[in-house]
Amino acid sequence: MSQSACRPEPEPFVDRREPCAERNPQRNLYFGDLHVHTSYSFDAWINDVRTDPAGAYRFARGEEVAGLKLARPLDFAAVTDHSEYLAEVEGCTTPGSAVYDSPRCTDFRAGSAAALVSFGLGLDGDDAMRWGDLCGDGALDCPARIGAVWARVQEAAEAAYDRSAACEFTSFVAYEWSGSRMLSNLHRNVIFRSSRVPDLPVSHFEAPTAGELWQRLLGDCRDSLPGCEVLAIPHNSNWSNGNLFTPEIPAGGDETELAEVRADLEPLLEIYQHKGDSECSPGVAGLGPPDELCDFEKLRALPFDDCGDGTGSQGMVGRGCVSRLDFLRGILLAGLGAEQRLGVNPFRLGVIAGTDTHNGTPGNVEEASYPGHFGKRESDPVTRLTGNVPAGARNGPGGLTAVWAEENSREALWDALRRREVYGTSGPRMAVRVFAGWDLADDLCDSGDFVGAAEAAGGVPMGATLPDRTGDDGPVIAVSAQMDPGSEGAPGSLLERIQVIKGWQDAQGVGQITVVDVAGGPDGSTVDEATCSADQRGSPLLCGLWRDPEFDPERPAFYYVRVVEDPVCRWSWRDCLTIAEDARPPACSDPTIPRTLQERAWTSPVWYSPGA
Amino acid sequence: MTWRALLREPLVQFLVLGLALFALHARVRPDPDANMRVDLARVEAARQGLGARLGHAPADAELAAALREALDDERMVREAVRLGLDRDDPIVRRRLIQKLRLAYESSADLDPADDAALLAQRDAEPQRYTAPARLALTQILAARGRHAEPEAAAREFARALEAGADPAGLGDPGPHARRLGLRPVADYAGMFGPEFAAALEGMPEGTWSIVQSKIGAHAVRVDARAPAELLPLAAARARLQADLAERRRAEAVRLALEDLRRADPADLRELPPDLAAALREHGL
Repeated sequence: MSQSACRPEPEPFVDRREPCAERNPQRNLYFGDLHVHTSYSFDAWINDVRTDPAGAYRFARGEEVAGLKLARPLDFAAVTDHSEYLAEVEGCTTPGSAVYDSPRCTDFRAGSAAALVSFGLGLDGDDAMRWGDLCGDGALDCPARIGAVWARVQEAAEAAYDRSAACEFTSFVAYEWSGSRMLSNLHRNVIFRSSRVPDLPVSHFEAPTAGELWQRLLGDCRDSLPGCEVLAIPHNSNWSNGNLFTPEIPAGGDETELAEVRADLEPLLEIYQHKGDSECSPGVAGLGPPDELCDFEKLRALPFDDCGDGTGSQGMVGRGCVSRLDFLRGILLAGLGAEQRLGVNPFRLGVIAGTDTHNGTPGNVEEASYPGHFGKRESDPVTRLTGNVPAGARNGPGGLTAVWAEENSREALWDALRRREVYGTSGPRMAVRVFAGWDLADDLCDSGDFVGAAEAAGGVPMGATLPDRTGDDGPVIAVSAQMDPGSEGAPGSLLERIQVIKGWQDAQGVGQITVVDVAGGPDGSTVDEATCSADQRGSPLLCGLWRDPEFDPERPAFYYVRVVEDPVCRWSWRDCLTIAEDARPPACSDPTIPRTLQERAWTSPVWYSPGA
Repeated sequence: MTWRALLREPLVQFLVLGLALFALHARVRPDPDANMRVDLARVEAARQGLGARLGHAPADAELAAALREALDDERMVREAVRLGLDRDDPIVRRRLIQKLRLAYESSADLDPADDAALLAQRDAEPQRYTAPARLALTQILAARGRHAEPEAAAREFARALEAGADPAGLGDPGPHARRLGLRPVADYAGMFGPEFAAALEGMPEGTWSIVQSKIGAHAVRVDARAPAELLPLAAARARLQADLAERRRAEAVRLALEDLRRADPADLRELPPDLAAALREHGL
């Protein structure tokens, strides 16, 4: 039996609070952002960002901050500043500190590209250590400084959290563990379930590998602090050259045990944010048949090398090979393989999206008003289109996480994240509901109460595992999707289609993918590139039902859903249109940077496991 | 008068703030000669930094070049300031303003406020600390594209519902629950759009109405309403503390700016007197 199966469920509520006045057993939909950097992150401060965690939460709640304001407030957010350099940034920016006048701090405050690179490179590798000139003898008392900054992070989350019965906004205490090796990204966001959190965040310096991070999370939180619960969310696998999801087995380690810990602590993958999409990609074998919709917000343009069964390096600077394990489909397929081999699937991953804003602006995802990724470095159209840190015109505004939960409280949202009843969007707030089951009625999409009828027929939601099979047929996947209704002055887009993506292992143990349109389809919508006005011909509501016709009960499988909107102008082309034609930078005529895009949602999969 | 009461006096606060700013200026004001001074500690620091970068102990010429580069930087900065080049550079100006603002903000008293101050803050801005009015409803959708005339279809649903039909059997299969509990109107705007939310205002309870949205036409019945409620102190405490700290920081900047305005008034001599007087009256 797996460790996660043995683990007792967390206490329903560990924080004292008024109960929410409304609790919906059929679950409400909440939108938020779980990937947010503020001035406490070295790479935000150095780019002149001065919005702190408290300011970021105010922005999420709909207040104007640093001249920006969300058209629609978020329901929840987590500030996830890099846990590395919390003390160093504090010391370097506090006049009179022991290191304020040090050359490294002077460089840092000067904000040079060299300083950004130096701080970034200082994080890389298993041997990365805190700099002695900042944290050594006679310099800062870094543990004490980290503790003070971490306390402020918690205070900001506490102040933003609505503990009244209205339950209007939820904050999470969180941080980002920012490990990398040979410039292959291994980053994880660490999200706590309540205000009961360890005294200090874990950084790459103390826990150089993911395995050590997990041990620290178990040791410092779950095993030693009553009421403390935590999960870690990897992101930007598209930057990892296959390393993020190639299991590392330390000498003497047990692969199965490690897979169980991973499955327990890492139930989600952030597949979309400022730094591109990690669902699937052209040019990489093992991700299924050609799928033109995979050519979406790609950080790397062909040609590049396919890592095959190996791994590469330097993904964070746009180099090295690209692996099928950099993308959701390849990772989910690898999970099925591990399940067959080990009896546990370490990659049973739900799907979310975030912004990874480094401007302290959670949820600022509109294509039409993208302010850039990195503060002043990208504060106007030309710098956004010509930047290269991290990917210039290939960056985007990022996306949102959607959660189906009974109420807007930390515990209800976190538990939904844990059970993966969540999905990611590339920005829009379309509502997507998935149920899977053996006995869902064929007329579920004809009329009537979709949610009630699916639940009554034993349907399980996105993120779940199908229950024991009944009958002789394959499972039914039912999807209802409603357009983002938009806000004042920013109408939502109509929906083009719903697709089910099935992954399974064939009899030879080879991973296979099939993509099926289950509602809607290409609808002839167009965008006038001279003005960015769109002629959209899709639907405000789509409902699709698909019974797997080639189901093999002996083989594990997963099913996730992609909902695609009609096209709109991409932010980069909108920026290009603001610049005189003869003054436009090369990105405006680069054929690999599209002028339009089809925003979308990706749901967490439902799994079939023969041994479940 | 107790110390605590004394500290709440505006005049005392003003004096304390002034002293704090004075101390802060003394602390952050750079020593004008420090950057041109070459002492043993500086030479050693340069030697170590260069050694790390070059991978070998620097020769005297390399050491001198590195020090000269830093000294030249300082010489050029001094000359640029002397020529006034900093005055027309928007980036330099922004950084200076930012540093001064942060210095003023850090002089603010950020000790936790007592309950009386928190309650006063809450009652001064009750709308900010009020849970919004909420309503519960049932909605049945006739989506555009699924009905030739969505509004007519929604009216037909409403007639059937009034006649006792089960809501579960009617309407289009949307992703949201049909019955929704007490939620703020803004939540309904998020679900079905601003037009839908606007139509809920004043809608009678217990009867079916037709509401248009981008998604289609909805048969809607308001099932219950709850009024807006001023939050009790316990529920608003953390936010009030954070807001008060923010306001104290803003107040520190405001007071410091008032000082600066007095010390450095605008020159309005070239304006017509009546315009100058009008502008001065509104503060410049």
